Amino acid sequence: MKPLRRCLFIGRIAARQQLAYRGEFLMRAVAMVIFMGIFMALWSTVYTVSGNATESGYTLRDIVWYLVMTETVMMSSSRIFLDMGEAVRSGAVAYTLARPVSFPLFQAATSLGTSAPRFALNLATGALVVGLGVGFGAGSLPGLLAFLLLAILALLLDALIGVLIGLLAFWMEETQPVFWIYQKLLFTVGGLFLPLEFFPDWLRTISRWLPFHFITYAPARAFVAFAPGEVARLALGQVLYLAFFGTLVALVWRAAQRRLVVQGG
Amino acid sequence: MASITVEALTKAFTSQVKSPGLRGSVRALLHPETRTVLAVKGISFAVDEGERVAFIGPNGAGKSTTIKILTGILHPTSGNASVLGLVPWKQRQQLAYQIGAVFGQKSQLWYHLPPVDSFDLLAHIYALEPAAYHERRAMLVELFEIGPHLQTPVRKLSLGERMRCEIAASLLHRPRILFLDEPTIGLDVVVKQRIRDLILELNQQEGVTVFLTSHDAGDVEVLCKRAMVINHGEVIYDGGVTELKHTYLRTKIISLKLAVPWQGFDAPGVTVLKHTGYGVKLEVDTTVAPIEQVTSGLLSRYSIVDINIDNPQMEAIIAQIYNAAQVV
Repeated sequence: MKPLRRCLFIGRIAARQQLAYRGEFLMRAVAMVIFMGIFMALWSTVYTVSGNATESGYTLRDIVWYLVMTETVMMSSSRIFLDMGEAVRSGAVAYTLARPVSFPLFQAATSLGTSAPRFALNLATGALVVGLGVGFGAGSLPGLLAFLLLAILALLLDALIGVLIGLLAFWMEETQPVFWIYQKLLFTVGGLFLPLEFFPDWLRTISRWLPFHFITYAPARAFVAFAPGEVARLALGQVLYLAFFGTLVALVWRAAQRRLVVQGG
Repeated sequence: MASITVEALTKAFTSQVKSPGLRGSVRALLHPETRTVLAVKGISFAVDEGERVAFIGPNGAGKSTTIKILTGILHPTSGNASVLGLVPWKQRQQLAYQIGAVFGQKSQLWYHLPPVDSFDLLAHIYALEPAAYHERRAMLVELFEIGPHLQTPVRKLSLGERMRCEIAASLLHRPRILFLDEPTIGLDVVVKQRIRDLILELNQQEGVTVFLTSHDAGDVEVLCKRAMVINHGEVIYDGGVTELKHTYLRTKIISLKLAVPWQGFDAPGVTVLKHTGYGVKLEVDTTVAPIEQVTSGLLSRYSIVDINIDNPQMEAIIAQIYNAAQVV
């Protein structure tokens, strides 16, 4: 499998670039600590005011662990579209295009490689802080394994969506607004802060058909409330959406090639 | 054998036109107006294997656009091109294995990592055998003298060091054609010469076809035998670099050392550039005054100790071509 090995190596280089600056990399851990600290305080207050067990079935410890897992995925996102936009603006995209490798695949591999070390760091820091704050008792070993599987698929999905947004740079000067919409959808219908179980029925039904909860909700849910049937259903949904976005990226890329303008020089 | 053939190649770009001011911006948002610019207008040429060709012309003449079409990055609007028997924009990935490109104003090395990481990545991307890759890399490292920089993060390298690494990176997969888009831009004279020497050496050793664009007359003169001048998207000259000089060379410079003080020399087409007592420098427009007529005139009037007749620098010739083209 030459293309796969190639992608793995591209990812490895991207991961190395992430680790090039220890200070900057470790600041991410600090950000995670602050985030989790704030949310622990916030949820403690909510649960004290409204009583411990709510209809949703999440205890305070569950909800805090749920949050650390969604944030671990969210904060590992590479924002590859920023690099792609910059490459299109500066014209450096010419080099990547002159290689015997698929441009979107190269970007997706870079995105995943960038996410990998961040993911490990976020998970370790987040789990430590939250464990010290509300206890380590949440989740289970199968839950953790399911989380890892669904998180990898989630990051893959996020990488494809990131590449898709990045490809828009061939049409638009600035792709950031599109990302903001995507990000806000992850915050809300994706269940970043609030699990889908808290949603009113109609909203939960809609959310379950949308791709966003497969990125944030799915891995975290698998960890705090492991159920083999649900994990399988979520994984299947992720795979189907991967196929959908993979096709979409290929189509958009084909159109982008025709209207490519390389700036400068 | 022709390694590049181009027939009636045309590339049009559509860009948005915005009227000035905030009102203009708002109007452009609602009713975008577009304008089509022909960057390349039906150019045709062929380049043989192992040739060294300079593609020169003022900014915006269409040089880079042509290179980007030939490397498969851009799709042309119309026309045909074949590079090593492949259609670049249709068989981009296949072609990529056989060509190398250096864009002087851009970087292909990972900025925060040492060049060796980028080299390793390229070896994977071009699917090079490990043994062959290491041998090739060792050879290029020695030739380009980049051994000490291989392990230094790219951001800490000087421009000259980085450019040598960039070019070496483009040669790892033994390309048969090397496209150089202003490879010496921003470099100092010494580094420029080194890079020219290296490219020349590769051309002679491995028969690599060199296709170069540059604003540096030295690059053209030292590196290339053939030059194509492009302006407003059209090829206005295609021939030898030496012939280019003759075609566009309408002036010669005469430097004299006299046995007697300078007293002036009046003749149509002759301009005194400077004179200092016994020394004088003249510019002769050879279309007005044939050079032998001027020299014999000078010889009959002055007792001459030394005489030198020079061509103007390549620099001046290129400037002249650009200026002439702008008038047209």
